[in-house]
Amino acid sequence: MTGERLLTIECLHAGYDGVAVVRNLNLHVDSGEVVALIGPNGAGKTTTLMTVSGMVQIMSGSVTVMDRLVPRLRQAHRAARWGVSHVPENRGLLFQLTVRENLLLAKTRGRVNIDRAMDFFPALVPLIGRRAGLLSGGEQQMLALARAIVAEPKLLMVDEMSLGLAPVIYEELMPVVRRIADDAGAGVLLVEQHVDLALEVSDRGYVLNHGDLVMQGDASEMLADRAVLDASYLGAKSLED
Amino acid sequence: MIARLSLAERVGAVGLAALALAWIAGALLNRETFFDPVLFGLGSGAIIAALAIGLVVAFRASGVINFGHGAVATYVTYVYVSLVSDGRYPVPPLPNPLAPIEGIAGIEIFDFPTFINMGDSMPRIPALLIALATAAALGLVAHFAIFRPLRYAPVLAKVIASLGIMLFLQAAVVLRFGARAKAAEPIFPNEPVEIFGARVGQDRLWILGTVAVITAGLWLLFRYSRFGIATRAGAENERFATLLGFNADFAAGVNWVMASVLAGLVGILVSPITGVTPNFFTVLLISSLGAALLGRMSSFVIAAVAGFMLGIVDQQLFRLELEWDWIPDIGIRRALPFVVIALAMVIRGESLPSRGALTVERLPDAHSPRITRGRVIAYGVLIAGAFWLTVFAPFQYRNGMQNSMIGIILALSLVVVTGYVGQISLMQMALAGVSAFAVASFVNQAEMTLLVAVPLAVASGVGFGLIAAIPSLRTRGASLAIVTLASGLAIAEIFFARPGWFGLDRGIKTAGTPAIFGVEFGPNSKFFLGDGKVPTGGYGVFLLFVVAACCISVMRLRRSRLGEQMLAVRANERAAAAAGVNVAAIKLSAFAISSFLAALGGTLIAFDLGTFGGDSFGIFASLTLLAFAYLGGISTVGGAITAGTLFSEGIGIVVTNEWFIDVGPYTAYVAGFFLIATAVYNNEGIDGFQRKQVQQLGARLNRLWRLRAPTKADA
Amino acid sequence: MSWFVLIKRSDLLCVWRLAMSDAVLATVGLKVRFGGLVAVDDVSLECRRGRLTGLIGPNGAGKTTFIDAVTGFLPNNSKGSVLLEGEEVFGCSPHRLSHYGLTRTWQTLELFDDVTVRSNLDIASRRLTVGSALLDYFRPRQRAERVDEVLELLNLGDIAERQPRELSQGQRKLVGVGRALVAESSNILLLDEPAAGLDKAETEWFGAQLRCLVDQGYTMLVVDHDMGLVLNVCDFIHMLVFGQLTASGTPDVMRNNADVIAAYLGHSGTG
Ligand SMILES: Nc1ncnc2c1ncn2[C@@H]1O[C@H](COP(=O)(O)OP(=O)(O)OP(=O)(O)O)[C@@H](O)[C@H]1O
Ligand SMILES: Nc1ncnc2c1ncn2[C@@H]1O[C@H](COP(=O)(O)OP(=O)(O)O)[C@@H](O)[C@H]1O
Ligand SMILES: [Mg+2]
Ligand SMILES: [Mg+2]
Repeated sequence: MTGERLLTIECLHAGYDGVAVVRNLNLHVDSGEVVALIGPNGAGKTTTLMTVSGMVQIMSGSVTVMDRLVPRLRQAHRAARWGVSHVPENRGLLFQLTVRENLLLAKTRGRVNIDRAMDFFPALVPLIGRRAGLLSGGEQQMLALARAIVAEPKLLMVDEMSLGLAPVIYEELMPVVRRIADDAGAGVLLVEQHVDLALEVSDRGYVLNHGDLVMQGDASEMLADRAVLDASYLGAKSLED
Repeated sequence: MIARLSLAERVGAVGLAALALAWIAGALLNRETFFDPVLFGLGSGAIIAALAIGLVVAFRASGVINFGHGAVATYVTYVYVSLVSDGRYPVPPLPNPLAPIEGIAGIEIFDFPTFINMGDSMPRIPALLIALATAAALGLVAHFAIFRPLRYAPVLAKVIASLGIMLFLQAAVVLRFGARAKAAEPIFPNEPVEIFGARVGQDRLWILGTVAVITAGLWLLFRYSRFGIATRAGAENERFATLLGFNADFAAGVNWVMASVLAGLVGILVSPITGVTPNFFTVLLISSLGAALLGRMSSFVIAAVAGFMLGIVDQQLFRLELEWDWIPDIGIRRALPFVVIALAMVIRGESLPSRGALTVERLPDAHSPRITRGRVIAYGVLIAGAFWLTVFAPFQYRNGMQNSMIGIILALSLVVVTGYVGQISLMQMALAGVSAFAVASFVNQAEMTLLVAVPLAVASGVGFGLIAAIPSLRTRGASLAIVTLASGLAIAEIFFARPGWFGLDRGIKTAGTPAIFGVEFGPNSKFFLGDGKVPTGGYGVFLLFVVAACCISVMRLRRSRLGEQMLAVRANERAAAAAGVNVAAIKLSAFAISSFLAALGGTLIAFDLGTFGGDSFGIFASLTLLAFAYLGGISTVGGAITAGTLFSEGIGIVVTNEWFIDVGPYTAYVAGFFLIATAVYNNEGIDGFQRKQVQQLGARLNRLWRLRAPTKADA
Repeated sequence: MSWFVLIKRSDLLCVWRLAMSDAVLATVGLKVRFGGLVAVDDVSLECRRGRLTGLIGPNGAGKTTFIDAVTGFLPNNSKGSVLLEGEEVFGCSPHRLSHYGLTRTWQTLELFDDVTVRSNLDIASRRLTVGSALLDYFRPRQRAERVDEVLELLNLGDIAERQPRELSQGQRKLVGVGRALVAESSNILLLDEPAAGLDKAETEWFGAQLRCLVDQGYTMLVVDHDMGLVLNVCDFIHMLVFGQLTASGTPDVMRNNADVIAAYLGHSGTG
């Protein structure tokens, strides 16, 4: 089921202004698998993804994408050219451009299949000429996801996938993510607050809490053992109380 | 389409249509008055249009109002002229890289080849190509040496750098080619042709066609090519474009080259018609900014059309001023277009930005230090030092101190309006000018006492400031900056150049010596301390009091609720309104306070100089003020104080001249260079840079401390 | 044209009924247009005193636009009538409405990014008049206790001195909620996706806090896509679809409403 190694994170320490908010993280994603990265708010999930796409400086440890070391901030655009598609937490849309223009930017060269994006999110069809800044929050999220999907990435990273999406939409979205991994053989790293839904479509899961990796394992096992999962989730917080 | 226009917009459209119809009728009845000016206007219209689309390229590529654009045009034109007339290629951009050092040291170090001889006189086409290659090289240097290092810096830092380019290149041109006007060999045939009975040089039509083609090309490029779209993406948010795999850096580089070549091309094509002087294009740039603004700094087509219209309207008004005596001679010709543009911006603007509008530009931190005993002692020492310098130091230092202290007040005016509220104002010196002229009139013509004259003069400055602030209620960001520039220009054109309360009498204005109840305290009056030479310490001590009071007031403003709300407006107008902040009132009060400070600075300048003219308060003075204020630190009082020392002929410059070098004729040149360098290395201002260094040091020490005591820190 | 021609008869009835009820906020025939698009279509709903009203609907249904229109951010695009404590406030500017006690949060955060979290709250905590501004300028202000209370309530004490851009998504959302809560004279709070970015446990805790506030007498309208939150803490829920109010009811009714399931909830949304 799993194939070549797409992303390897070893002993990663990363953070801001010299303070590590992610500590000693080990994680990997292979092609054809969906990996859920979950954990409470402020755990360091976003920071981890930003490190992989070169937007946050690594303090120590290593991050390898498709057998190459992650570029420094100066060359960060290379990561995308190697086939990494990152939907950031703030969605990364260009507000002054129209929906179509945003989609055209999915790839740096080659044709972009806009119709495919419309197939995934029919709600975008009537919005194609509207400026992205005018879209509703959920519509923006759909556009960001559509753009990442039509980029045909080898490694897809989605931060807070269901943020702002209506239940009907994200429910349909989960199988889509699975399909991207199964059909196109891409690796998917998913950050998600709807733990159950995410784990249902994932192969493996990692739980991050306060910057530490507190749990990892098979998604189905994690689902089965909810009590342990919840405990890991609450870990630091229950200590505080 | 019509249904979407607001009432004001509809009135505007109908008005425009009526004007156009009236003009057509006029042209049919009286060709000479109403049609010929249009043909003559095509020449300058073409320059304005072409410069305007160059500005749009720069803005789309990196969100910068590129004040250096005109200077690039000038420089490249001079290169072309030199190649064609005597076959010499001037090595760019320096007269000689060692010249400043040689000039200062007074020795010849090394005979640098400043010109490369290329035969007697070069044919036009190769000369054109070489000149354009130079333009491309300039664009590359601008990108790699200046704008790339500044790519994550606040946009204002980039604007300041472009001001530096303007000063630098203009000075380079004067040093190298002299200040005389030159004419270039035309590229296009210039035999006159006849259109509807009017004769006009053919070249104008060629240029019109060229500009039209370039405009269409740029429009297509930015609209449909992925490169164009990616460029727009990069200008909006460089990080997002990077995440998508676009090398925003590369795109920006290409665009700088494009803008630069475009500027050069314009210069070379139009200079046969207009001639060229070192600041010719820079002056026209103001009109181009207006045209680009009408196209929201993003539409090539509107910018180009508006540029042509400005050229034509200018000629038409010129003609009408000649023929119709009843038009008052009050600078309407130069001011009117800007007033119209400002009005258009106000009509099209919104009182609060709408959903998904571009995020407001980031500005340096408005840090406000807590007042500790240590700080109070430091301030005391600072003031004591300043006191010594203003009273007992040799006269050139005293003079420097006076200039610096006035500079601090002017910079403070920008701290309030730009630093705290985020509204870029390019009219501060015009406001200072209003009150300088006013106080001189009140004291000398109306013979008021100072106690009445000064408040009245300052009040007039505030009045002008408040009127000019009205556009800020409906426009923001770069648009507002340009509108305020236009307001400053309008004030200078309409009032300063001619007799009146706010203008000259017999070419100059005299404020005389300030005195209250017969006690004189001007720079020339006697003072009981110091060596008695001019300037005496009395005025300096007075200034010191005023400056200290202003600094403390602005510091308190920052810490008061009003100041907090100002920062809220700067950060996010929509959110501020939702949190109960009356955005319009906050903006107006900021402009009022800022105009007050600027006007106060103006009266102080008036008494400092005694006798003055209009140039001290022109738009370039305002631009320079912004540059210094930004470099000092636009959002802190400390920054304003730093800015004051940097101020032209301020204490910082005096010290440099006295202790290190006297740059003499290279002043403008060196100033431009340092402006760029400072902007690149302290892109949040010197004050913020220093604070950051201190903080980093603190963090490093802190970390060391933590390493020693890890248990406590991590809990 | 006189005013009664402009108001439909049914609306007139509605206004009369509202005057009798204890609605803190009510809209009558609110309509928002963007060019050809009708984003909010004739919406009449009310938020009763001391109740937590939910507003749900698919993406792009017009929920945020509804809040924008009610809080005066779309003066050129909207029409209809908005009654706050029975008084017509349609057409008032946003800051005025905030002074009247109509406060909101933003789906898109819109925090004051270059000041600390505490200052974010401070700014919203008291309204400034010419008099109070001068007074405060000349006599340094006292610390706002209300701000500390709210920071405490939302668990933001630890990050009070940090800047919003350094926080994670969920923390920023809470700062936004805090900013709406501190307003001096808050009559009603409109919360736009306040729980987006919070994890499950935090959402539960947040829901409990909301409930607690409502029980203390606050009135709120909450827009959220987290059905756990909406269905568990709201008293009454409205659903917007394509700008129109298509269903209303108590959580239990809505949970089983076929329309709601088809247009919005899907299968697992109830879970
Ligand atoms: N200024 C505008 N111009 C044009 N269309 C707009 C504008 N503002 C909003 N819209 C459109 O109106 C519709 C409703 O938007 P709104 O933000 O209210 O949706 P929402 O219900 O809040 O959705 P979500 O749950 O995704 O946040 C969307 O289709 C949006 O694209
Ligand atoms: N730009 C930043 N500067 C400083 N600290 C930050 C910054 N961004 C995030 N943090 C801090 O890092 C921690 C992890 O944040 P984040 O990665 O966004 O969490 P998550 O995505 O898991 O919710 C948080 O405590 C947050 O406050
Ligand atoms: Mg996150
Ligand atoms: Mg919304």
